[in-house]
Order: sequence, then structure tokens, then C-alpha cells
Amino acid sequence: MFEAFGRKKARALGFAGLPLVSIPHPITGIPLDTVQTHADGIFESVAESLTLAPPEDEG
Amino acid sequence: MKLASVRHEVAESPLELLEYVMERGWGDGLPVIPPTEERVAAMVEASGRPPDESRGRIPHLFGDATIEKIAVNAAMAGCRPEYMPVLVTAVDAIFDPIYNLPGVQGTTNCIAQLIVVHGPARGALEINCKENLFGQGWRANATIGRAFRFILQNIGGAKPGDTDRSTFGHQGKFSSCIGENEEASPWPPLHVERGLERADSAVTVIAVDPHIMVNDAASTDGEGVLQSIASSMMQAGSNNALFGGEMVVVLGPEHVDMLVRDGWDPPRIRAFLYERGRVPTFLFAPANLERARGRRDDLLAREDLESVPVVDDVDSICLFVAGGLGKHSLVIPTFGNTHSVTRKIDYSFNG
Repeated sequence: MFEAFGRKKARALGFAGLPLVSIPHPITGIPLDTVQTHADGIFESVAESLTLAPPEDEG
Repeated sequence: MKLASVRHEVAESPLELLEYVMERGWGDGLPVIPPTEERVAAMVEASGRPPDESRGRIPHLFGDATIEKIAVNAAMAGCRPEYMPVLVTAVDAIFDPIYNLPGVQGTTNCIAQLIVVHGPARGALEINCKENLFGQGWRANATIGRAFRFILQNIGGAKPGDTDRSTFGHQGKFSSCIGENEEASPWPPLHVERGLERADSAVTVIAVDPHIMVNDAASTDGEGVLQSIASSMMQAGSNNALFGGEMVVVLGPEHVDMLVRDGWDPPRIRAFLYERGRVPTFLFAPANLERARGRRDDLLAREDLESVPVVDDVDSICLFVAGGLGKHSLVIPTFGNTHSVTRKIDYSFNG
């Protein structure tokens, strides 16, 4: 739901290639075990995004 | 005057112009005035500043709020050129960190940006401070507020349904600009309370939630009126109850008359409202009370807490007088994570 928004903001700040990892909306008002499931589901993607070479950006 | 904006060739038909503007996401759904070179130049000139002067980059998308870009949006909204100093001052004000502009622009909350004008500019620009001031019928109120929304949308990039993600929106997002009714009160107006001179003209910007009208035509003393106002501040689900911040109370002139007669003044009024406007903890959903505790832990840490103040301190009740006849006042909750900002309008370029 907010991915396109995040992408536009990253582009506006000069980081069009910023790696983004998404989880389903909403993130508030949900049980703790659902939060845990979301976190587990994106763990690999977050680790990958943090360890990949940064994208060559357009400044 | 050299203007840098891209020129667009549009048919003269008002409906075709409206379609053109809406297709590009620049409008609010209502007809706009063509921002011709001549109109924009007149706006820039009335600002007393060069067209390429930047007042800052507005989130989300950090467009550059140059005088020219402000002027284009002002022209499109139907402003008179002499409104420009108000708009430029309002733009300057929202960059104060206490306003929390990135949060206000990005939230799912129902937030409008209210502009309150103080001092001689109200008369000079014919800004309505009295009956129906939040409503229709006054060009300055309607178009200054509309231009400000265009600036946030078109320069800042807060496009409804896209980068403006407000769940419900807010009627005040079409336009929200009023004057303080300084003549209806013996107390110092808001800009004087905040350190400016009465002869100064000034702008206050406030990130407001929907308004709550207080109807008390029955009380015969000031304390009764204040009790009605305090009880209208008590909402366990409001941003203020959850996050603190600032809450606005607009006193109607007839309520002011009663308060003055009974010896009340703004410091006493604020102190009364702070105490009587506290929300009993039993009104909160338990999880929401924990959320409030998490955000306002210093204030709400006590285990035996019985009530929650809707602002963190008495000075965070933003109090001023406005409106016309009638036994009414307004409570206006805010975004919570925000405080209003007051700035003097700089007319020094007029000599």
C-alpha cells in the first residue's frame, strides 16, 4: 500500500535504487505473533538489502 | 521579470482548463484561475522578493518552494497579489521542526493546515474574523487557505490517494484560513502572547484535526462555559490524548464576554481547562491507554493514574478569540505530534 509512496520519496531524495522491503498492511493493531510472522518473512530480504553493494544512484 | 516555470498552452474554456489541471494532479476538483505569466509576475512583485528565492524544500517529495512556485499556486487558487506575504510567512512557519511537517504531510490522520492571521493584515486583506469565518463567502479566507493546500500538494508532492494517504481527509484541506477576532476580547491576541507587538501582522499555522463545536447557551457564568469546553476536550481516542502536543480552543465572543465579566483571563482559563479536560482512564481502551503511556511515559507512568491530560502542560492549550454572535466556542484537537508556529509577516520591503 505504501510501497509506491516510499519509492517516490526515495527518488525525491536521490536514492531511486534504494532497496525496499515490504510487509503487508496494516502493521498496527495486529497480534504480536502476526508481527513475528511478518518479521520472519522479511528477515532474509532485509539482510540481503543491507549486505548488497549499494546501487549506483543518480544523485 | 524572468520566470522559470514551464509554460503550458491551454484552451481558454474554463472547463478545459479544469480538465487539464486535474489530469496532472494539480487541482482540488474546483475550477482554477489560469496562472498566466502576468498574474504570476504580479504575485511575485507583491511578495517583495525575487522569483528564484527559495523558502525551503517541502516534504514529501521536497519540491523547492521558490517565490515563483508559491506565486503560481496563489494565482491558481484565486489569490489577490497582496495575499502573498501571508502565504510566504505561512510557508516559512511550517519549516519549524516543532510543526513536524514530514509527519503532518505523510499521515493517515485527518489533518488540515489551519492558517490564523493576526494584526493589521486582517483588515487590510479583508480576512474574516467573525461570523462564518471557517465557512464560505470571503475571498481572502477562501483563496489563501486554498493556495496553501496547493503549495503542500503541488510543491511538496502530497497528492491525495497517492502520497497523501489520509484515511478520511478533512474539509479544511480545501481551504483553512481565518483571522483572530482581536477586537472582541480585552486580552492580548495570540501573536502578542507569543512575543510580537500588537501593531505587527503575523501568521500562526496549526495542524488540526476536525473541529468540535461547543454549544453552551444555558450557563450563566464563565465557569459553566469552561466546563462545557473542558468536557469537549475529553476524547480518549484523540491524537492529543494519545500523544499530547497542542490543543486549540477558539472562544466565541459571547462566551468571552461572560468570562471577562466573571474575572477570567487566559492563564486561569488554561489552568482550568487543563485540569477539567483530563480524560478518565476508564474511558480508554486498555491497549490504547498503554499506547499513550508508551508515548507520554514521563507524564503517565503512575500505576494509579486516574486521568490523562490532553496536553502535556497548560501552555500547550492554544487559546484565541474568533467568530461572531452566538453562545458557541470551538475545540480543535491537533495531530498531537505537533505544535503551532507563529511568525511575523515581513512587510519591510514596503519601506
